[in-house]
Amino acid sequence: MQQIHLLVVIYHDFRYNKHMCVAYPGKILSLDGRTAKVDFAGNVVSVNIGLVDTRPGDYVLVHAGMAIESMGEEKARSILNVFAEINEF
Amino acid sequence: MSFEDKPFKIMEVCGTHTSAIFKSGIRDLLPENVRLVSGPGCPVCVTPPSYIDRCIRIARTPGHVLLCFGDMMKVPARGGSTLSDAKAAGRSVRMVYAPFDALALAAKNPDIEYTVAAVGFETTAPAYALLIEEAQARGLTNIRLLTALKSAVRAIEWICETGEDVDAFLCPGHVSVITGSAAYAPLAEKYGRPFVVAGFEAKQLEAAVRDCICGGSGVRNLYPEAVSEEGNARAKALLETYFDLTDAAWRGLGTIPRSGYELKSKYARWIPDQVRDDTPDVIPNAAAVIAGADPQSTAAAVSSDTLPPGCRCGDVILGRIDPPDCPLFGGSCTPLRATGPCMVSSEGACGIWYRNRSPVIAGADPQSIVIY
Ligand code: SF4
Ligand code: SF4
Repeated sequence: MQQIHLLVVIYHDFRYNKHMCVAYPGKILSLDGRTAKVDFAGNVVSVNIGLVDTRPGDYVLVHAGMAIESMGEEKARSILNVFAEINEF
Repeated sequence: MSFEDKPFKIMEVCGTHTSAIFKSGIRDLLPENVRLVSGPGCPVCVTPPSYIDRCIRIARTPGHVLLCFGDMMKVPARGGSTLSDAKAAGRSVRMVYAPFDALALAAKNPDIEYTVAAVGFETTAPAYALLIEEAQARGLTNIRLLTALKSAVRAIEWICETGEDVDAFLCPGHVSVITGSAAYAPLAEKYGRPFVVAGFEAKQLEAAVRDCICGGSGVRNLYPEAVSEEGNARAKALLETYFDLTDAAWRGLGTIPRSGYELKSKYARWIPDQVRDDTPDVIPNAAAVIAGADPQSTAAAVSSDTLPPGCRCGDVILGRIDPPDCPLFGGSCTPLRATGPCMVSSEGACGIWYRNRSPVIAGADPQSIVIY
């Protein structure tokens, strides 16, 4: 339940850009030149990957529609947990 | 003097930190002499009112559409009106979630000029450089950037230069992803204070606060999941290629030398025609402050210059007062109808304090922060 709540919050933040400067981790599904399809807990968004070296399966930290850092799953999970915590209240 | 008597001020430069710290309850667990103050860490809050005027002017021009982040919609312009008001009055204002949304719009409607309200710090600025590259690659000529991009690291440096009594800095997490933790090394060396890069989790923040108090001068990176020492090299190269560091106006603070990213003249075609010949805003204070004038009186002068009457955003983002100390807080200034930008933005200090009026102690054990 809490997980679903988090997804809704993340999706909401993305859609409506409540925080212009927060960055969220998502998983790369596919690449097309300098754009990637990134999965944020089920919401697939196009992301510019001009700043990072990455490939499908990697996680990227995304800010303003651009990946600012790539990372493994473990690091991404630990960051996601933080957002779960922040959004809990 | 023992530690217990000495006031100790920690500036959480980043708005997201302010928010996370509130929710963690850390604020309530600190000894009385330790104060956490908000810094100029929200790009929306520090955008000067004249910039919003320009945005509205562009939205009013036939054949033009202004694209902006949602956070910008309720920031008051000089006369108090907002982009939200402009939109309601039928002006062409459109919210986007990323600057790159301009690409599809521009391709679909080649007769319309899309101006992106390019606001942000080091974190966001590379996105606008990438947007230009992408627009160029796709042969799109109907995109413009109205920039108000700023360097958060420069703002931190300026706060040190002016001699504000800040004892330690919680450095912004996502800015540091780009700049790298090494960006603070010269500051730590010159000003002999702790610069701690922090993540956003309660435990990380607690550790960072403790490190600020006990760790002494130097740079520490407590957010290694995302932040490296050298930062993102490609992003830094893009910033160098596309932007010049120029003097920039910060709402509530005044003009800070070499703190703004402006497009280099060879990229002038991406600047909207309406503003190309505008004279830049000069808010006369930073120079005076640096030259050693009394910061209190200069801040007052600046506030009356750039902020609505009574609004004390400048003092809030320098950590001189907490938001509830502003006489308008919660009265005539609330998130629904804000007087100052710090109440509007989701990362603005006043808005965060307002929404967290009765701070929750998020399951934190009061014994868990051991500082002495
Ligand atoms: S830009 Fe990043 S670091 Fe700065 S306030 Fe926003 S989220 Fe925090
Ligand atoms: S409460 Fe409102 S008026 Fe007072 S400093 Fe904050 S934003 Fe400005």
